[in-house]
Amino acid sequence: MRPTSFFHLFLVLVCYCTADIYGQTTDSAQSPNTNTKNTLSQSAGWGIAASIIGDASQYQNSLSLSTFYAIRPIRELELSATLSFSQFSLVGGQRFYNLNISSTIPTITEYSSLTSTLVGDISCTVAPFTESGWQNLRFQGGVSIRRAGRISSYSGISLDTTRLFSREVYTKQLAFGGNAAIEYLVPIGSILDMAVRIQGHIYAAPFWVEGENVLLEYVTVPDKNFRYGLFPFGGAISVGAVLRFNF
Amino acid sequence: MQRIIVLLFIISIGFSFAPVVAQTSSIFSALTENVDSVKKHRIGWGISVSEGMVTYSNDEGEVLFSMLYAQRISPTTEIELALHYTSIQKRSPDLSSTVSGMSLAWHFDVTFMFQPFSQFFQPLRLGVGPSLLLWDTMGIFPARYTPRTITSPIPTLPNGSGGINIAAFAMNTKAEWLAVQQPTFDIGIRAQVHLFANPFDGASLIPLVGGLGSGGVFLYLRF
Repeated sequence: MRPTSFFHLFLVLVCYCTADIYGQTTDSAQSPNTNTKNTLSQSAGWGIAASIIGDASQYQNSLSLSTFYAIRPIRELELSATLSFSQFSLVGGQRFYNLNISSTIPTITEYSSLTSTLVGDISCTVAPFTESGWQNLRFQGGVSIRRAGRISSYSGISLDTTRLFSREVYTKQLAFGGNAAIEYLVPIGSILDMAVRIQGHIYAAPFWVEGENVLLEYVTVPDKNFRYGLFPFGGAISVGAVLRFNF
Repeated sequence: MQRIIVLLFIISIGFSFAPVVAQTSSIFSALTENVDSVKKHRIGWGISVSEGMVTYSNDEGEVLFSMLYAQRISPTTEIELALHYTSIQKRSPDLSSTVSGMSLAWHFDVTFMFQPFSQFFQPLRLGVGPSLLLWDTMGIFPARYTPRTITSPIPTLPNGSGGINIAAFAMNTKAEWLAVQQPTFDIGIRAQVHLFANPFDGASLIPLVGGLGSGGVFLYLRF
C-alpha cells in the first residue's frame, strides 16, 4: 500500500465525518445560515493552503497545513488564532556552462535543502457586507510570528577542476510580521462551513537567529542564484481552503 | 487529470458511504440512548514533549504539536482523527567538520478511544489504532573533493548532504487522564506512543523498527 492509498483512506474518513455532520445538521440547517451565525460564538477547524509564491519555498509551490480557533463577539467581527505548518525540500543537480569562465568546460553542481516553517497568526476578521450574496465575503488582517529553519548544501566543480566551490548553510530564525486575507464562506451545515481564501504574509527582519542570518528566499539553484526581492525580508502568498466547525 | 478523477471518486465514496453508516448508527444510537447527541463532536489541540527516532533520540524533549477531531460513537467510545507534527533542527558546534541536521515528521492517526472505567478512574481514557508516519530528515556536512583517478576519470565534489525520506505504517496507543471535564471543554494529560516498522517507501538505511513517545497537555472543545 502506497502513502497515497493511506491518504485516500484518511480522506474517505474525513469525508465520512463531514457528511455525517452534514446529515445531522440538515434539520437544523433549514433556518438561514446567517441567522444561525448570529447565535454562534466559537469556531475551530483546519486548513490547507498552496503557496503561490513564498521565500520559504524558494518561490516554488508548497503546501501548508493549519489549525485555528476563533471567537465571534458579533456576526460582523471575529478574532482568531492560527497555527500553520509547512515544509519544503529541494534536491537536484545540473551541468551547465559558466560563460564567464569557459564555454567548453562544463560545471557540475549538486544542491539540496530542507526548510520548515511554523507560523502563528492573531487575526481580526470583518464581514462588512449584509447584502445577500456578499454577506459571506470577509476580510482579515493581523499580526504574525514565524519560526523558520533551513539547512542546505550546494557544491560545484568544473570538469577541469580549476573551479571548486561548496557552501553549507544552517539557519534558524524568528521574525514578526503581518497577515491579510480575503475569504468567502461556503455554508455546508449549521455547524460546518468551508472558507476559500487567498492570504498573504509579510515579515520583518528576523529578531533572533541561530546560525547564519540569511534571507530564506535566496535560491541556490544554478543559474538562479539571485533574489526575487518581492518581499524585503520574506513573505508568502497562498490560496487555500479552511474547514470550520461553528459552535 | 487521472489523479483528480481518482480523488473525486474517493471523495464521492466517502460522502456516499456516510448515509448508509448513518442509518446503521441511528439504530446503534437507539440502542445506546444515553449518548449525549448534543456534544457529539470534539476538537482538540495538544502540545507535548517527545522523544524517539524522529527526534534523533537526543533527550532534549522536543515539542510535538497535535490537532485532532473526534466523533463520539457511544457514551464511552470515540473515533479520533489526529495529526501530529514535530520539527527539530540541530546545529553542530563546528559546521566545518561535523554534521548539522533537521528532522520533520508527520504522524496521521485513526484511533479508537474508549473510557471504560467508572468512579475514581472515570477520567481515564485509552486508545489504540493505526498510524502513518511521514519522515523527512537531512544532514549537512562539508563537501569533500574526490580527485581524478585511473578508475574514476571524472573528479567529483559531491553535495555535502544526506537525507532520508520514509513512509511507514505505525500503530499508536494513547492513555489520557481528563483532569478537567466541563460540558463544553476538557483538559487532558495524555501520553501516547507511535511504533512503526518496515518503511514501505523511502530509504532502507534506517532500523526496521522505531517509535516516538510523547506526553503533554491537550485542550478539547466539545459541541
